[in-house]
Order: sequence, then structure tokens, then C-alpha cells
Amino acid sequence: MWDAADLSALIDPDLPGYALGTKADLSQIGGLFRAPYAESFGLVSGNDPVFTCLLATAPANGAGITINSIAYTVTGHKPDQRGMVVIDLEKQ
Amino acid sequence: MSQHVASQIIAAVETRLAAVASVHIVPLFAVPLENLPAILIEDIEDETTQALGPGPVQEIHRLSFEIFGCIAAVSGFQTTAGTLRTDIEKALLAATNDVRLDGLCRPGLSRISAVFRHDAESLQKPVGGWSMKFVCTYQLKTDAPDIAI
Repeated sequence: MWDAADLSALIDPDLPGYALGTKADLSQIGGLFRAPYAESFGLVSGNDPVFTCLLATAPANGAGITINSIAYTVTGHKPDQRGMVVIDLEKQ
Repeated sequence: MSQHVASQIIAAVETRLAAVASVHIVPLFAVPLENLPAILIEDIEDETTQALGPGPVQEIHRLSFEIFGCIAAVSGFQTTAGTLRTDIEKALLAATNDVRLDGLCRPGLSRISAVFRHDAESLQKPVGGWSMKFVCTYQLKTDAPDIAI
């Protein structure tokens, strides 16, 4: 398990992709936003956005979160068992 | 340079479908998610089923291709995909001239199968829709593959 200092270092604002996510209750959480290139069926191109943040404050599945002015819905959680979680995002 | 009858048929299909949504021959390039809904034509296959001699041989061809009515939607996915399928089938099968593509193929187009394809995990939004296999028969002579007979 990471301690609080570890966790804050892992999502430091200086890291590439750092962003603040605004949850439905308007509280903000820091995390690392990634949207790598992805394809479906080998025919449709786009990206596959994910947000890495603290598990304790992560929005639940189905909840909304706004990152970089784009509203997303959380569609999946991938916890790392050490206090962090990668959440899958779907553009609303 | 004249187009082969098979290319003329694909072009005629594209023209009719362009009234429904943007049409892309894939996978030369992947279609951006932002450009959906779109109609994707793939797996084009032209088979010579019969050759009649002598002289410039008269051939009967079976041309098949998949038409994928692809949408991206968070809600109402099934309904939107179904509507696009309906519009595609109306554009190609509603009238005799459409079915025969103005005489390019006889007896004409038919949709022999349809599969619902859906991917909710890879991209920003769920994408997919109905993928329909169409076949048609056309004839030509080998000395004039740009003229349907």
C-alpha cells in the first residue's frame, strides 16, 4: 500500500497529463488523464480516455466527471490494490 | 480509362448511400469517431462463377460486400443503429432501379445477412451498428470488362 506521500507524488501536478477532474458534487480530484489512440473493429479511430487517481476519492461507476471541460461518465474501475485506480471514461 | 463493372457497381452503391450518411471504403483509412454516423463498405469480393466460351468469353460474376452502418451513441444505441439500417436498405432495395443499380447488375442486389456489431470498451463512446452483406450478379465479356451485359 502506498502512503499519503507516495500517492501525492504519483499524481504530482508537474507530471504530464495532470488534470483536475470535477465530480458531480463539484468537488475536485487531481489525477493523470490519458487518451491514447484506439480503434474499434479496425475501422473506426478515436481515443480511449482514462483517468488515474486516488481510489478513496474516485467517482463511482456511472458517475459523471468533467476533465479539461469535457464531460465523461465513468464506465470502469481498475484498482491497482495500492490505493490508486485507473477509471475508464466514456464521453457524454 | 473506363471503370470495371465491379467498380461501377460499388460507385453506384456509394452514390445511393451518400444520401443517407457519409460513405467510406475501408480499411484504406480508419474513419474518425467524430465522423460517425457513417456507412463503411468493406470486404468487397468479386467471384467469377461461370465462364462461357468461345471468343471473348462471357462471364457471370458474383460481387459481394459488407455495408456497415456505424454509429456512436451513449444512449438510444439500438434504436439509432436500427434506423440507419432501415435507411440503408431503403436506399438500395426500395425500387427496381435501385436494386439493379440502373442495369449494372441482374437480377440485382440482395441483402443476404446482417450482424449487429458493438464495441463499448475501446473508444470514447460505444460504437457499432448493423453490418449487412449484400450480393449481386453481373455479366460482362472479357474483351470489355467495363461494360455490363
